[in-house]
Amino acid sequence: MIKRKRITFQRHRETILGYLFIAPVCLGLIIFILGPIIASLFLSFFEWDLFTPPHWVGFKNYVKIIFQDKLFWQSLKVTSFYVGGLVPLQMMIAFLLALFLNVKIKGLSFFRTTFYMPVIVPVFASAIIWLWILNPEFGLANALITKIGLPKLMWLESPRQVIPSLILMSLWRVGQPMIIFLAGLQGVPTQLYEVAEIDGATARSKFFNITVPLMTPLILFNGILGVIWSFQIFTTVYLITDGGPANASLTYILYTYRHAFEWLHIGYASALGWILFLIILGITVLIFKYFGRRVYYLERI
Amino acid sequence: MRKKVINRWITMLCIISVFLCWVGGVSWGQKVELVYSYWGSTVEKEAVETMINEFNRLQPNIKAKGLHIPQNYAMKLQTMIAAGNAPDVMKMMQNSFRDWADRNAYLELNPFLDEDPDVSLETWARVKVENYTVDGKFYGVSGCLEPLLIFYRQDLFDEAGVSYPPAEEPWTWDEFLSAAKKLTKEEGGQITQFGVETANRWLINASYILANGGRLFNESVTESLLAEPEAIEALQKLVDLELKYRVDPQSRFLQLIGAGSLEALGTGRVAMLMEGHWVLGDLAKMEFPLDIGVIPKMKDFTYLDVSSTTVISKDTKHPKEAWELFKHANIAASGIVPLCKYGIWVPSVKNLLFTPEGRQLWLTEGMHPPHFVEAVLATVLHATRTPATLTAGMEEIIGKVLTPTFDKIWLGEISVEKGMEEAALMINEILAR
Repeated sequence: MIKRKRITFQRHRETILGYLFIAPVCLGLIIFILGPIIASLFLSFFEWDLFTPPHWVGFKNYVKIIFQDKLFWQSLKVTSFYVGGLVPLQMMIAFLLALFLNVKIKGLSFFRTTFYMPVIVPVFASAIIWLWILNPEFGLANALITKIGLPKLMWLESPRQVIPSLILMSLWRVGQPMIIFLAGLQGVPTQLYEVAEIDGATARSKFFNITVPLMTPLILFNGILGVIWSFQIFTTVYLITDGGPANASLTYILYTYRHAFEWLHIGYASALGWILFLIILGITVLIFKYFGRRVYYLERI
Repeated sequence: MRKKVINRWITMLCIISVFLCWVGGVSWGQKVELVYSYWGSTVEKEAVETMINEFNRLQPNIKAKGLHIPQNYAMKLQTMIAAGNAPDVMKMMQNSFRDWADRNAYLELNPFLDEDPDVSLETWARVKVENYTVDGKFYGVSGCLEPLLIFYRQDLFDEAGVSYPPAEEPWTWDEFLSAAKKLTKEEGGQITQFGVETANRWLINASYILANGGRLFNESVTESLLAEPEAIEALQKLVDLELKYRVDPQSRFLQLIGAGSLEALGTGRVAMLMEGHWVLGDLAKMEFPLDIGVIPKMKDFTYLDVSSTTVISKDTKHPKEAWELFKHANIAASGIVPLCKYGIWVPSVKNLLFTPEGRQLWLTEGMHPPHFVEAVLATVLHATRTPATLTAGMEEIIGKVLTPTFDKIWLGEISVEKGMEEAALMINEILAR
């Protein structure tokens, strides 16, 4: 009887201490993330310009967005184009690079560092450099392609070329998914390859029957993260193209930002934010449903 | 046991000392505390800090603090206002000025002006006061003007045998165009030198619509007059520089970071740069013979001054002291002269700009080119009140309608007439709200 009491008391204290330790993080999460999220859901049913009190409009913001706002659809189109172009390309290139960097060649760490370095360059600095490189009149890119006889491109200044240019600029930072793939490749047990070789497997079948299946969890991971992250592209566009030319690079979050902070439509912007949430959620669910079953987890084999 | 007691005492001591600090801060501060918010580079930050320190010395009962917000100024300010924490005196951008004025964010300053013997509406250049007066209510000014000028390379003009842009009597548009043509060089199918660069679309387009006798809005600001022939003609002349005569390079984005067009002039890729005065500081650092001329006229010679303002927040708890700070920030030489010396500001204070003794305080050899004074004075005296403070929603009008429409026009995708018609419709929608 007495023993049980003592243990309970200690347990009790440890529980309290445990909660105290995680309290700062939880409080931070609630105050700075959960709170604003709920507030913005609430605000999306109001019209608010920050200075006058908010007034209730019900679903009017949502209706306006979906049925009357051409720029909403434009920004959705622009962003989807960007995501659809970037994510598959980024994953393929990252995967290929990871394969190359998994081979023991001389100067391996030099190559790995070099490919990862663009990831740590601050966005603003690289934005300015890219602006220069892609300048149609004075830039390096056009200088190079005209030298080999190709016609001059307008890059960031053509409505048709601006998104591909932005994709190119994002691909420069492919080191990030590459590192994750690299880590995954190194986690593939070498015994599997050895056994396969003994059975007479070619390099090609080793790749398609061992490497790729075992990498599928990471491919799914990078894919989903890539979609979620790239749907929210903002900083580069805000700094470089400001949505132009002619709204051809008006990404969804840039459009939301403008409504909130430049045009004082806080309620409208909140509604835009929640619609984006639903869209990304929907896409993620679809990806899980379609690709989820084709993913092999090593432990389950 | 002892450890526990000591621990408890230490904890109590810590809590008490924190409490004392808080109490001390609150009750010992007999001085009135003011916050002055502003944006800008490190150079501007230095000048503002100097001005604030001087102010604190001159006003022993006031403790002003500068709040430097280099990025996302509007957003941060809005957050502070929403939290009830607005700065007392704040710099405010021209394009969002009216939005906030209409929502009663600012203190009306006429009563202070009437009582204060040191300043009056005549202290600053006329256009500066006009720009930030709404329905007779004066809301603020700032210490600077930013005339629209032509910066040019004397060497490229000498080479082509073209006479320099005038510094007082402006060229006609045709004279300007013919000079630009003579200064445009082509080699092997590529243009290696352009006559002129006009990157700042809002400033230049709006200025020339006004210079051609056009207007952005009607008298009661209920309709856009952009589809009128004067406006269309003005824009057509500007577009032709790039698309028809190819004397102006097609690069929209240089203006966004403000760097590319400067380098273009610096490396001799363009002979003239039409831009606001603020680029002088960076241009003067480059090694080429720089000089300044006035912009060409269309029907009239005029421009629109885009320089910002300072305002006092309506919610300030210390209006009298805030007025003192506002006054000091906008007339004190300590805050204005350094920035003029750096080629970033042209003073808006009349006795610093229009008198030789005043100019002597800031004109600097090596920074201010030979014809600087004539060109700047001539331009400033011909400024027109900016349409950007005539109505709320200007950010939306410029960001949502004008910039994309100008983009389409300058890409050659849509004609000026069609573009302006569409723009006028969209603007009328925004004005109707």
